[in-house]
Amino acid sequence: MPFERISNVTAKDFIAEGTFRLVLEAPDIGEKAVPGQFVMMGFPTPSADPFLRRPFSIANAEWGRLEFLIRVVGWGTAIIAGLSSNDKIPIFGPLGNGFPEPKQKAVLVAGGIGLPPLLFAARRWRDVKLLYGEKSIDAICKLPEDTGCVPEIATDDGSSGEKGFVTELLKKELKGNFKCDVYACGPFPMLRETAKICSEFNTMCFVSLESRMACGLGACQGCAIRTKKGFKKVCSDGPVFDATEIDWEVFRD
Amino acid sequence: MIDLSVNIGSLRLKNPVLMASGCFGWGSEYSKVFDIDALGGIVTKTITLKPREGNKPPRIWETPGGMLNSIGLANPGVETFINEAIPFLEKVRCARVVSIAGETVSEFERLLSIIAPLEPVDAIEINISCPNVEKGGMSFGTDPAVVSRLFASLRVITKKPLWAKLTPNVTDIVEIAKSAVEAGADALVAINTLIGMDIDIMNFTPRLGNITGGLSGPAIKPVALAKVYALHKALPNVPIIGSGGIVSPGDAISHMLAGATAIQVGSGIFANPLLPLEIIENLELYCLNMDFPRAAYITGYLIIPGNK
Repeated sequence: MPFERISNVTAKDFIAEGTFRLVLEAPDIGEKAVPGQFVMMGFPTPSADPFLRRPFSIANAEWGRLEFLIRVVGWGTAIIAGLSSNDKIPIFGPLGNGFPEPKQKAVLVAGGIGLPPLLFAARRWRDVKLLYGEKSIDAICKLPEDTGCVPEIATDDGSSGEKGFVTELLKKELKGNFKCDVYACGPFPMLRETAKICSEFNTMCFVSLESRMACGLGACQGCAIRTKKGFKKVCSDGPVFDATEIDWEVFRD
Repeated sequence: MIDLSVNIGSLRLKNPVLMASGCFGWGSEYSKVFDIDALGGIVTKTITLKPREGNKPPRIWETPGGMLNSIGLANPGVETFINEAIPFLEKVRCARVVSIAGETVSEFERLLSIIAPLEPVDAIEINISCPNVEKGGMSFGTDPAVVSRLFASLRVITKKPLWAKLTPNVTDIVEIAKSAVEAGADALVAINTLIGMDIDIMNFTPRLGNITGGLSGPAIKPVALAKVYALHKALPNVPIIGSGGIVSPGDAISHMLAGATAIQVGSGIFANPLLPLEIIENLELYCLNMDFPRAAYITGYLIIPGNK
């Protein structure tokens, strides 16, 4: 562990605007993966470009298969979007520390394409509430039935669910019951706001962070971020951090 | 079975494939991925006397055919290295080369006197080529007089092999190499990264927190090969360890043909975590197909066709 495997694509379909679901065969990675972990995904044809692999959070691991939800944001993701069933792609994982198991009810706060690791958590954990925010209804990923919960939705333009940010949903939720553990993944401003709200309610808050990565397993120190306890590696000390460890004013993505 | 062993002076490597400094820690992370004893050797992340935090993020950025890094010699310092890395390296069964750097000659001397006597240290790589620190690193390796003085001081401290890690960011790498060798360096490692930068045009800022960094990857292979070739031509009896842009077995063989006795894989391992093992396997196949009785015969086997 971690394993380097050439995986078979078993499914790929678009589930929202510019966003697709990718399912790969990876029995050994799948067996060991826990929510919050990720893989470093290569490309179907070896070449000098793109040079580095891309980190993607695991959305599910079941029956020897790994599921990912990927949004096309650049060159690398565009190439992966072109995969079809029975194509092969190298992956390396599972990587990262994963989410600590909740000690009480878990409130999951997903912003945009921060959804996948929280989806994995929702599928594995028992007492969860999922809050999911996106810009508009076109970007909302249709969730599979096995998620185990019906999410509360918020959209910036109000085209689905509540109009506003997902952090508004969080405030309402905590006002109702702050005895819970909060897990968040999404754009940096959303995480910063989530951390602020949780500290006001004195609620445990874990955030999954992003950083450009090279090795993915803690050897190169390229992904390091400054925290209140010095530099930490997002790939191996994280990607999940206690929100109180992060210096939200200094850290920029 | 083809004999893949090579000799870097008095140090025998079971095969010519080493891991380059900076991409592999001291081996503990990747040892969970593959059997690192299968390698010819490992060069550890550069150690300094005092711990170094490293540079302001972002520290890495992908570029066409490669990447920039400005890690900044982030390392836990020699004391932690002795307490944590040395016990790990004691159990490693491939060559262990410790990379060291100082801001002054006397810091280099102190570090070497601490590190060299330790049992698991098979050789020491002298980092005079890091482009990401203000003092020491590359500022040593661009001045032949400084290189000469440094190696003369270091040579009296240990009999163990001393390797000079050279920077390509110089006008004449041969001049630097000659200074190192004349003052006692046992082998040359060429090359370290090239200085580079990239810019975010939407925010008008450099991509790296340190503004500039070192360029690695396939893009630099032609530069590395030209340097190895120049060094081997000028110093045919000095062992050269080729590094720069090795992402396939063919790249490793190119370095050897240009004059390298052994090679180092650096950022190539990020693109393919099993790359060093693939190189070792394919080296054997190459020798079989091309009729080399042993891998060592590939070194310098570059044929320059006549002018007709």
